[in-house]
Amino acid sequence: MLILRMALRNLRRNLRRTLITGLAIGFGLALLVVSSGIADGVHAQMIRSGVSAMAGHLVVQGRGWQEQREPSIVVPQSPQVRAQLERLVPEATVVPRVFLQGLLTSPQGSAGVSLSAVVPELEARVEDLHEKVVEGAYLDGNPQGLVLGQTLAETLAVGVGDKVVLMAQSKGDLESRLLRVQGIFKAGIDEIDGFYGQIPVQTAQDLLGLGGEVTQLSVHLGSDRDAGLVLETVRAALADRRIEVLAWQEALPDLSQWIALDDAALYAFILAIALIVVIGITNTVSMSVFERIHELGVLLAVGMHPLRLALMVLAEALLLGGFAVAGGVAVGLLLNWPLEVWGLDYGAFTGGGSMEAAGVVFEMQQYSDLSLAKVALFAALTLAMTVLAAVYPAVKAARLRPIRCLHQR
Amino acid sequence: MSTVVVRELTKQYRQGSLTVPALQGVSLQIEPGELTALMGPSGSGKTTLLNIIGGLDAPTSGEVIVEGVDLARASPAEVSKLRLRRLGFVFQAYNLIPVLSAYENTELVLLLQGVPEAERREKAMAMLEAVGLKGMENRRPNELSGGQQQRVAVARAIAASPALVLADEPTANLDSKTGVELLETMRRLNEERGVTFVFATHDPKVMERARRVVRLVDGRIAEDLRK
Repeated sequence: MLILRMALRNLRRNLRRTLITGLAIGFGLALLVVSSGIADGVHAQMIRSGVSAMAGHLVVQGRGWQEQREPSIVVPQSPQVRAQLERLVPEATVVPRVFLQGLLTSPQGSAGVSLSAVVPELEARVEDLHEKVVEGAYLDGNPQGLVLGQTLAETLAVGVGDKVVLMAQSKGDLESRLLRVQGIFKAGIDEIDGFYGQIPVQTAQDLLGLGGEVTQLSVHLGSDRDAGLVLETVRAALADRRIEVLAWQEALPDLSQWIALDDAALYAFILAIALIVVIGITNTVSMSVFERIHELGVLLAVGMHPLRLALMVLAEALLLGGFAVAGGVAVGLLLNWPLEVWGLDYGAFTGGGSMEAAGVVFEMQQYSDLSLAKVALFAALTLAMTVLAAVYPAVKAARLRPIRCLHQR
Repeated sequence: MSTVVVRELTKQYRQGSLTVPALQGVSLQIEPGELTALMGPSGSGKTTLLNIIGGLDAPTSGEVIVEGVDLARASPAEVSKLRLRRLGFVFQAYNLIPVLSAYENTELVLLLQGVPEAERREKAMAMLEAVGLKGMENRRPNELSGGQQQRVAVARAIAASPALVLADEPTANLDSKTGVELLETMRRLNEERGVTFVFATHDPKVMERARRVVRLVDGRIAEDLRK
C-alpha cells in the first residue's frame, strides 16, 4: 500500500507532465479503439457484401472449379447435395448458382458478360442486387429474364423489354439463347455495371446442358462466427472427392488477402502508437527517477530494499498507465458510439459515388463494428507496454548507491 | 557485544589522478547505550566514518562490524536489512520524503519493517509526541520549519527502536535554541530507551551533551575522551 500511495503522490508532484503523458497514452488508445472499430466495420461490410454476392460463408463446388472456372465443372447430384446441406445446417440459406461467361448481342452491338444464374427468390434473401435495380424489375419466374448492369446496357444500347442474344460455350459447342432485359441495375462499380448480369438458373442449366446440376451451392449463415464449425461439419458430411467445400476466405482469396493486408496496416499503426507510448513513458519515468535521486537514496539509506524501490517506480507507471487506459477506453468508446449508430459517410471525403476493393463494393456509409474483446486486448497491451517501458528506469533505481544519491541535490 | 567495531579502517577517494585519504587507519569500538560525538573540522573524515558504519559507503580497507554484521562480507540485501532493522539515520539536510506527511515519514521505517498498522500508528504518534510535534502529524515537510523537519527526521530514526542512531550534523541547519531542544530530545531518548547515538558534528553543544567525544583530525583519531 505504501508503494502505491507513494507512487500516486509522486505522479501528482509534476501533474502537468503526468497529464501530458497520460493524455498521449489515452489519446493513442482512444484512436486505436476507434480505428479498430471502423476497420472491423469496413471488413464486416466487405465480407458481407463479398460473401453474399460472390460466395457464401462456405461454398460447395465441383472439385477443380476454384482453379479452372470451367462451366462444365459442377456439383455432382446438386439437388441431393443441396437437400443434404439444408438438413445439416437448417438455419442456413443454401443458394444454388451457375457461373458462366458469354457474349451478349443486341441489334446495336455486343459485349462480353459474366453471368450468375440464380434462383431469384433465394438470391434476394442473401444479396442486395435486387435493391440496386434502377430500371425495370429484378428476376422473377420468367425463364428469358435478364438483369444487367447499367453500363453494359448502355454498351448494348438496350433498355427494359429489349431482346438480346446470349452466346456461351457448352461442352465444346457454342449455344445461344434469346433473353429479354427485365431490369437494369446500378451497383456503382465499373466491373459489375459494365460486365455483369444475372439470369434464372434453369436457363443456364438448359443452355449449358447441366441438367439439374449447378456450379456452386453457397451456404449463407446469420453471421460468420460459427462458419468454422459449420465448415468442418459440412466437410465431414460431404466427403466426396468430386466435391470441394471451401470457406469464404478460400473462395474469395483476393478479399481475404485484402483484409489481411488492411489488418497489417492497422497493426503497423498500433506498433507506431506502441513505440510512442514506450518512449513517452520511459522518458517520463526516467525523468521522474533522475529528479528524485536524492530522495531514492534516502529510501535506500533507511533500509528500503532495492527491489521495493523498483516496484515503486513500476507502480508509478502502472498507475499512470491505468488512468490513461481507463480514460482512453472511455473516450474511445464515446467516440465510437456515433460511428456505430450513425456511421461515417466516406462520400463526404471522396465526393460521393461507390468504391470497390478486391472486387467487392465498398459502401460509402460505413458503420463501426467494435469488438469489446479487442478493446480489452488493446487496453491490456497498452498497460503492459506502459509498465514494460518503466522497467529500465526501475532497474536503474534499484541499482542506485545510496551514498551517491545522498550527495546529489 | 559491541554495537560498532571498527578496525584499521581506511578510505581513499580518487579525484582524477589524485588519491585523497579520508580515513587513515581508524579503529573504534562503540558500546550499547553510548552517546558518542565524532568531532573534528571539515574534511576530518567524520561523515565518511558515519557513512561507512551505516553501510552507505564501503571502506578501502579495514573491518567494520555493526550489530554483529561484518559489512565487508554481508550481501547488499543483508546490509539493507541491517539498516532497516537495527539502524536509524538523522541527516544534516533532514532528508524527509516530500510527498509524505510528518506522520507518514515517521512510520516509514516501521512500514518497511512490516509492522501492523495499529502498532505502527501507536509508535509513530508516540514518537512525534516525544519530539514535540503532536498536532503536526499531517503536515508535509514543506509545511514545517527546519527544526520541525529535523525533529521528524529524529522521530523517523527512533520510531522503530533501532540499536544505533547515526546522526550527521543534526543541528547544523538549526538555530541555537532549536538545536538545544533537539539534542535534549535525543539525550532523553538515549537515557530512557538506551538507544546508542553516534553524532558527526562540530557543534560544541553536542560535545557538551555527549558522554564520549572522539576527535578526528586528517582521517585519524586524535583523541577519544569518555566523560
